[in-house]
Amino acid sequence: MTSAFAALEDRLYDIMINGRGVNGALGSDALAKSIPVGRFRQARMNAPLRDTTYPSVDFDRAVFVEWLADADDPTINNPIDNPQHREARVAICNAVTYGNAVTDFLVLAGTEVAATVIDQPRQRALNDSARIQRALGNPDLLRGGTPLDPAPLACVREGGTTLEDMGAGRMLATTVYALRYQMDNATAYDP
Amino acid sequence: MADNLAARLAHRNAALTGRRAAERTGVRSVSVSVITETWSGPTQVSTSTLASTSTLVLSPRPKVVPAGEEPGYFGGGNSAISGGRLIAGTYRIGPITLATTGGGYTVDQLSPPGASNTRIYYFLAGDEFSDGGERFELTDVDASRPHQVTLTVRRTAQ
Repeated sequence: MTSAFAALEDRLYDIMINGRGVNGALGSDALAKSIPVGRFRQARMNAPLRDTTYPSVDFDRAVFVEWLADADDPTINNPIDNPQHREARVAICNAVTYGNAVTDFLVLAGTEVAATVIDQPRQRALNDSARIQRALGNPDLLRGGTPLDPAPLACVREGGTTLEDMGAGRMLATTVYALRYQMDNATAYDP
Repeated sequence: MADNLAARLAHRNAALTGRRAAERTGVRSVSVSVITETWSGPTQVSTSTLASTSTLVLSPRPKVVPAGEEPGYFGGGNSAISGGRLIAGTYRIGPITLATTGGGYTVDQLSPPGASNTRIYYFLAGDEFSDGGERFELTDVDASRPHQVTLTVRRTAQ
């Protein structure tokens, strides 16, 4: 058994960086919303992307899962009910690099041209956020395949995506999600 | 008056001799390496693998001195040496003799060009640093002097 949040976080990263659903095993809708391996990368050493000492070479298209809060699900949820429904709030940060001096550090996708997209950090960051939101919001990608314990139920964006220009050629997009999940009441979820 | 490259190289050789002498007396306790990792694709992408590592150990050992400090947080940093207090140290490395006939280094050797599949870091080992050494990243290269170059590095995620 692992901690509940470790299992949930693994699922989020599987969707964002490990290509969950790209083989079509989770259905055609999941395939359409899935994110190919190599599009995004996990933040190095699990370091926050706001850390000013975060290495530039690892910054572009890095994603970071930032747990913010956890609460009981607002629906009826007696303490002895099984399963237990909960709702966590989690911020997904996705980074882009901009500025002509750092074109060599971009992780390009599709038809992107470094010289062009290096000057379009805002639309690039928002587009990446939207791509992630489509994938995390897809029920088959989130819940499909081998059952997970705790089981994620829905990952819904709360509010909008906000952009933050950190200076020094770094821009960060942050999106807060409400992640509903259910736990087995008989399990301790000790690490 | 034309530039006098021969005189400059001769001065660099003299400087190199002096720095080697300092190293031989044992006063250069910190070893400095420029390490270039080349990955099969962009670094940190789950399918990328480390293809090769190139290590340039600077010789003679340059002087390494603290250049101020700034507080910071490292996700993977080693805090043991500071008793849990995490400090992003900044150090000045140099002077390092610029390339001449008898040795020295070019600026390109000391600060290799970066790329999305190339991770470059500076590895400082010695009494000042944790067991085995610590990783740093380059923040400044001063090659304005005719015979020498000085690097400024900042401690980074380990």
